Amino acid sequence: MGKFFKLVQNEYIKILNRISTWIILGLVVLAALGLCLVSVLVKNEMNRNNDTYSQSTYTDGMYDSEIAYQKDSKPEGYEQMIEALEFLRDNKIPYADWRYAAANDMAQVKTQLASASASGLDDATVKALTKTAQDYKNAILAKDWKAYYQIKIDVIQEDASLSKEEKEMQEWQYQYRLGHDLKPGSDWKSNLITETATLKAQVASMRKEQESGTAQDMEKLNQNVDKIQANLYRIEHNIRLDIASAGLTHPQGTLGFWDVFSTSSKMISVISLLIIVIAGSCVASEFSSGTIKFLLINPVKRGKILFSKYVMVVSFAYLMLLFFFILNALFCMMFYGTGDLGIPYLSVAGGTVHSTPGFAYIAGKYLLASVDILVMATLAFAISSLIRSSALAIGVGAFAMLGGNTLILILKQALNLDWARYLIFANTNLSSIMDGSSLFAHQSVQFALIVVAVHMFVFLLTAWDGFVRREV
Amino acid sequence: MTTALKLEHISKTIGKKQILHDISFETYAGEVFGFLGPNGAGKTTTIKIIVGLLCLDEGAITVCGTALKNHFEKAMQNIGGIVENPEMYKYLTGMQNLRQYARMRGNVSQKRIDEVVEMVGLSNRIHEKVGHYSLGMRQRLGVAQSILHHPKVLILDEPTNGLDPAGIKELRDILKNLAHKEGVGVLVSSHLMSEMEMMCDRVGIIAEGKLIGVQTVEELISTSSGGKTGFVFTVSDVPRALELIAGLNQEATRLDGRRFQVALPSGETDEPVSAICAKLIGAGIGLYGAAPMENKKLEDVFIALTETGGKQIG
Repeated sequence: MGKFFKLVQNEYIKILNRISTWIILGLVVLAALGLCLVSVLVKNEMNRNNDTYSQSTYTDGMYDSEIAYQKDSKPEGYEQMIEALEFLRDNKIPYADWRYAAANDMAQVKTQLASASASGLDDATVKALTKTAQDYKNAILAKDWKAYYQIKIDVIQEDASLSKEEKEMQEWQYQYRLGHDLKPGSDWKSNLITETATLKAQVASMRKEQESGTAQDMEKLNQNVDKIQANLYRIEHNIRLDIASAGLTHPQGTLGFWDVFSTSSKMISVISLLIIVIAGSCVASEFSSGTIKFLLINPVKRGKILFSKYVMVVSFAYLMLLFFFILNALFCMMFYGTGDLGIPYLSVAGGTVHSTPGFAYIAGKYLLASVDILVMATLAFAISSLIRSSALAIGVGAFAMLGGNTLILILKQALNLDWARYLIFANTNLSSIMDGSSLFAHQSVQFALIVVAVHMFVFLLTAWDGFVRREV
Repeated sequence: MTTALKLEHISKTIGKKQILHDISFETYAGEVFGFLGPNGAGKTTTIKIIVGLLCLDEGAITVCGTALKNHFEKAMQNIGGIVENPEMYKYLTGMQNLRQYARMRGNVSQKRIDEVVEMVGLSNRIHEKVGHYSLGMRQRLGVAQSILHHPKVLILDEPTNGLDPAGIKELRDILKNLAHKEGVGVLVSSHLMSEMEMMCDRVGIIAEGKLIGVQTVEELISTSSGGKTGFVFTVSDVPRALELIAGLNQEATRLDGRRFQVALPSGETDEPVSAICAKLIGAGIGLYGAAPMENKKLEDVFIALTETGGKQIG
């Protein structure tokens, strides 16, 4: 074992003393830096159209323009509305406060009352509406949001035009807030509850239309269902941000740490180019420089020498991935700060939510992408060993890496050939197969792993056979 | 004498051409064995088979009693060598190159590396990149890597290539020292015959894939000249002298207008030479000189032995 380690050490010394390795390594660093620079440029561009202002504190004259508008254009129920706005103004209640919504509700009820005689409401209803309006007012004055939500729930329950499901859906957010003792406001939990309520409404209407026979976008529906799950998980576990929502806290339209860092996993092809160059030249260059004779004259079986080279290639690939991961993380921290580092990634599978630390989530993406590197490097390694030509091995490796997906796209989309699913290129992109976005229907991860394993075995056998039986 | 390297009935076919025909020989510990042959005779092929670069079709190779085929790693532990040109990693320094080989062989200390570098005279340049080395320096580095691990069999394919005269002498001394003092069995191939004559204890001559013979250098030279020594006479009148000598029952060959040669049995030249001189002087022919021809060189023997099928490389 110690001797084999020394063989691998020899291979590392050879690789690290080559200028070409360092040049490509430099390109890798530039690629990581370039990603951040481009992202920052995007940020600057978008910042110019950015405009935010807050309505969460009361300022004098806040309601003046709206009252003037109501007085001017006199829409239906304007008198009640003006009364409500003046009430808000007198009590110095800002827009974002829950009491603003309550005052609106009160105005609506009063409008209903005002037209009671015209729409022929009976005395009992009038009496009930009058009580509701008073209850609203009392809740506002008492600053009792629980009472306000209880009224909302009662109103929904008493609405005879709603079905049981509709009632449940509409009263959900009030029930939820009451149940979890969540005071309304403009904090993130409130926003999340509002968003979730909207999603629930969307899901309900989609389901309803589906029942009536209209085809629905199932993907969108499932996404919404998952999103509801994830939102509730965040509220209950007090997770202010996850990777999917982190972008919302940045100024409109700009990118954050996790946006850029997770994009970096798509740039791993830079590393695969480096690894293909190393894999494609590590055997062939020994032949072209004549050093193979001095390599094989040693008391080491050829199989071991070849295996040590392969171990070098594979371990170097993972070291480079780690290097690229750390490099990107550092650059992203430099450009975007360290504020978002602790936030997790939430995934929903089969109705349960899993929380993964952000770095582990991105590391997973890198590892999935490494399968592609491994396959292409092994292909280049096999050609290098079989044909003994660095140029050919690197060329074929790079071509396979860049052209493989295009080939699959042509075979599947243009020619509609389903057997293309058995080709290696249709199986290396494990992350897209996992989330079901593969070109081929029902392409499973197990199937892909088997195809990959078979190909790797064939490549390695070719390399071994070519090297061990070669007459030098 | 202990057998260091033993080849038994080696045959090798590459493509459709049979390169080696039934080669068998042994080298002993403590001798320098010269492996001679013209270009394309199969020297390098034989050496490549011994060090495992080519696979063996037929026959068996034993290194210090270990069969190469069945115990490759153990057998190779006893072999050091250079095959064809000394090509090392150009982007590494001489020292880094030697460390590469040291790691592959085990049990080679830094002290041993320094000792070997000193031995081949590269101490001052060992930390330079091999890409900047001359052929002679690379040859020295090649020798250094071949003896790093104290091999019992040292195989050098044309090691004097590119060496300056001083370097050749140093190499000769190194090899003789290794063989005669440390008991290493050295196998050297070369086409520099004068070198081989000075360096080797025994030689094997190969031509067209067949081993012609294995002998000591002295044996080889004397057998090939048929046990006779040539005497060259310089006279005033060659045709008359030849007539006279024919009468003495001696074979004489004319060399040029002033000289002829007589082949006499080695070691018994005194009487006939005296008789020939007396006869020539008696007949009034001017005798200007009578001297034995220089011994035949290994080179002549080599050319005579291998020059059979015309001059095309087969």
